[in-house]
Amino acid sequence: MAKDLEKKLKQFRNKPLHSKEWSDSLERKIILYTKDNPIPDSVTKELKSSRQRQRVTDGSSFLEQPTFRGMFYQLRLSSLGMKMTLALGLILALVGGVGAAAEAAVPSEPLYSWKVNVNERARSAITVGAQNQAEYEVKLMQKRLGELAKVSVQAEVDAQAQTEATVRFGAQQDKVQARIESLENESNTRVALEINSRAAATLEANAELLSGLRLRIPPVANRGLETAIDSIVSARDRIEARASGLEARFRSEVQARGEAMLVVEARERVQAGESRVNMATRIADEAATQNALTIEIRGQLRDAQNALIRAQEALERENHFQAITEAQVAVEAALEIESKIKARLQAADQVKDLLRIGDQLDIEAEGETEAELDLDLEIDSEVESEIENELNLGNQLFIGS
Amino acid sequence: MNEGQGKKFVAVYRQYFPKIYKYCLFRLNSKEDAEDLTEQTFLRTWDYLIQGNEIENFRAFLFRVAHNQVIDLYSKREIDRKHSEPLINQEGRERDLPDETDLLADNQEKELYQEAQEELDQLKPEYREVMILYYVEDLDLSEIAEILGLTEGNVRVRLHRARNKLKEAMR
Repeated sequence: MAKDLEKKLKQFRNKPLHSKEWSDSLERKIILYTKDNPIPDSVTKELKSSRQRQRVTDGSSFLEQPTFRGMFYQLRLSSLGMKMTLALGLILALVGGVGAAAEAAVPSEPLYSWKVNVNERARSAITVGAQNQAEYEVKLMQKRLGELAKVSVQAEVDAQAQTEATVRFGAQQDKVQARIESLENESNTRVALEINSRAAATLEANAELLSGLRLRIPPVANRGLETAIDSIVSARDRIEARASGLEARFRSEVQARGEAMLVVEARERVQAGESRVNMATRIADEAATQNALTIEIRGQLRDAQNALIRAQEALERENHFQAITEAQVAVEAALEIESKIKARLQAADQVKDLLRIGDQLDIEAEGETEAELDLDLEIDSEVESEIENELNLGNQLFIGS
Repeated sequence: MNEGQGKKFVAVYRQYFPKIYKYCLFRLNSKEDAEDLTEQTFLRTWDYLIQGNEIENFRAFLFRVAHNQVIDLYSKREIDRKHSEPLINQEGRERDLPDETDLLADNQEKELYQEAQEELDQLKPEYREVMILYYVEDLDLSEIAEILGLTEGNVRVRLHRARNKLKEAMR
């Protein structure tokens, strides 16, 4: 029978099974999508000049890939006046790069509205499925976190920009919560749990990184930073408060299922756990080679691997409930690891930006030129080594396998 | 704007979409799901590229994305099944019998397809997958290993176990 099946399957090798109508329609959609979302020229140039390539062995990791750092540097709207800012925006619009240029904008900047109302809405519109939409909202939350961090350490904190950034972050965090609730209401508790884990890990990683900047940023900017940290920590606490309720509901849903369903689900979940933990392990290994793996994340990886082993053993013993619940623990831990590393990578670019802004604040405060000033920041050695790790991480293009 | 890259990507789409679609169809046995997942595979791949990433092996990458989406859809389907009563086999896969074989020219081909799916249904999902990738998609072991995040040894073992399982089913 095995040979029969092999022969049967081989017969389909060169046989097209799709309809031409559908494939033509999809091709038109893809052409339109690539035109509406072009690869920015600067990204192509930077890739060529840096000769950095990614060997991709795990396609789904791209969902967690941090936004390429080049896009953050495309539009370096430092301390230019509004006229220069608007002129730059016009030039970019003329060469057709408005969409790409807008990606680096923060609240109060001219292109920010384009970023939020055009770029992000377009992407949201083509995101299909409740889970994908929830994941996209978490990605947007990471973006709002970056914007909040950036505006919070401006020299004279632009109160309006910070208020807007805080409001937008809060609104985005509410959207994430709403997606989680919606998934829960659709009895998609497992996915709700996973999205919750991602969101909590993203917030925690950002709070940690910003806290690490306290000693690096001059006092004048500290107030803005503290406000940002408070917002993030409150959001994290709210999200974490949901976790135990979701876990309890998940367990009771699994317990209520019939044995036949449990058998199938147990296999699927253990397989999903293997896939997720393998991915998290590869991402963590890569981060480790760049000195970007914290002790906490290492510990979480061990927990994920142990949970997976327990799930596999439970499956062999045909204890399907335990296999499912342990596999879920493994998946969530793996998602947290991915989210934290990703948040740290994205935040690493922000940290560099923030450090540059922090240096600039000192220079302006002293009233001397950058060339003349000999910066003398007193930094705790432990914080310095952590920041160095972040900078080294930011200097490398993250390779997700 | 980099239109050249867009055109190249459309060429990649033309080259690989039949394979990705076939893979999704064999795994899910649902034309609608296969079409949906194929679309998502290519759109997400483009999203990956516009973030500044490069892909060395498009074929493996696309299969990997499709594979992960199938896993997610399976998980969701188990929950959705609570609300409907589709035909299911012992592995819990839905079976839409008539539509999926509309595109096959003659009755013999339709019969072949249904038989193949019935036999695949006897296998665990992980064994079914390697059978599809190896025999239908004609991928080599190293590429299958790359797609599934396994070693070549693992892939070999799964193929071996799949064949043994089918032999046992005959007895």
